[in-house]
Amino acid sequence: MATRHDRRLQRLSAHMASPSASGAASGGTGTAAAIELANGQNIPQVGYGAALFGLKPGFDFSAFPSSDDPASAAGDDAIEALVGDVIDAGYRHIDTAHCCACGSRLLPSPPARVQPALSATSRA
Amino acid sequence: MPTDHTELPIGRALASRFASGRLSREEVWITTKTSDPILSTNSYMRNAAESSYTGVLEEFAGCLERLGLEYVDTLLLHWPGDKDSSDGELQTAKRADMWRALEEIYASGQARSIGVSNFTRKHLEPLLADGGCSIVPHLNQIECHTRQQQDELVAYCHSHGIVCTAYSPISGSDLEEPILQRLATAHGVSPGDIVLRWLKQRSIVAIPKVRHCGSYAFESQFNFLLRLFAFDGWCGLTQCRRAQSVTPSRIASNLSGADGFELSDEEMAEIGTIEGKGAYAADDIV
Repeated sequence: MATRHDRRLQRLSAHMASPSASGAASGGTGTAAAIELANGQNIPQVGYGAALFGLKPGFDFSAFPSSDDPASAAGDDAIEALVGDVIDAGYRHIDTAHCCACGSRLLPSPPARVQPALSATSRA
Repeated sequence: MPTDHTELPIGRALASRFASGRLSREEVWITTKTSDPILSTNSYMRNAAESSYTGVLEEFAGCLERLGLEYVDTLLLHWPGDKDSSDGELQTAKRADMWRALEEIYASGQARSIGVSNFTRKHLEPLLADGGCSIVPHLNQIECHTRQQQDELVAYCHSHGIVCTAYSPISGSDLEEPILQRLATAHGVSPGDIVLRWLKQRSIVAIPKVRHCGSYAFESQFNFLLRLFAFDGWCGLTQCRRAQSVTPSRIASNLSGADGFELSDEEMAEIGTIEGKGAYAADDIV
């Protein structure tokens, strides 16, 4: 029985096969155009920034009482699944894109309270 | 000691694709960074007594280990320094030492290209001056979108052969902006496609960042967690509307959406009139 994950990938694959998605294809047969660097390397023009979570200092860890750091654990799994999906979708440029806001387990200490929404442009 | 939240899971995703034969290492470009001053482990960026050169080398070894790779395609210095420091001389010296470490990593073959991130002209100039560096940074990853267009910095980088990468290209842009809306309608694409095309025509790499609270999240098996996050107020509704890079269609469109049409000079200029959001955070770093 197809899982929700499988169905999502099927929809994604169908979209990639459509004429509107001619610049990429599932299965790794298509990539974004590249830009040449000064040393002759070609970096794909579109990459995928893989910072999934936007945990800010002040995040309320008490929402996850079953673990010291369940948000990170779940986040790791989500990032792994997402990055796998985008690779399967044809992305050939992955940026770890970590930011001050995404390394929850790196914060010095579990803080007191959730901060408001991310700013429009969080640090990359 | 973990220094990053995404390298481990990215490494696992890559390993599974490599193992299955669906992807080879040579087919994928991996960019990562060292030297984020906010990390408590990166005291080498603040402490005059610590070697920034050694600090970067040690941190990068951890990057490779977490990613499970023998090399990365791009290694960047994440930030030019500590925003809380007013010691410009120390920060300049630290930048030079950190860059020297990247040059060594590049020479070793563990990074196929090296660059900086969030460096403004004042941070780049000492590096680019005579004797400042042996290798000119290949890339400068900066906040760049329609509300932070970075014309001068991009022109400066291009004049030195430095390619710019735009972070927050879509989330930073106001996709409700009438100019983007009108151009999207005219070209039969989304406003996000217009932004990516605008960057492409400026020869800027774009890395739309995954946001957690879009449709992708709610379609995922982690929806319970993400709903909880959203409910807890760390992600406002406006931000969710900007989460354009997390739906299957958006994931696909980000790759191809900038193709198949071209913005005219007049349209590029029109996007250039979109009002900015103000100062770039990196300007505050001495």
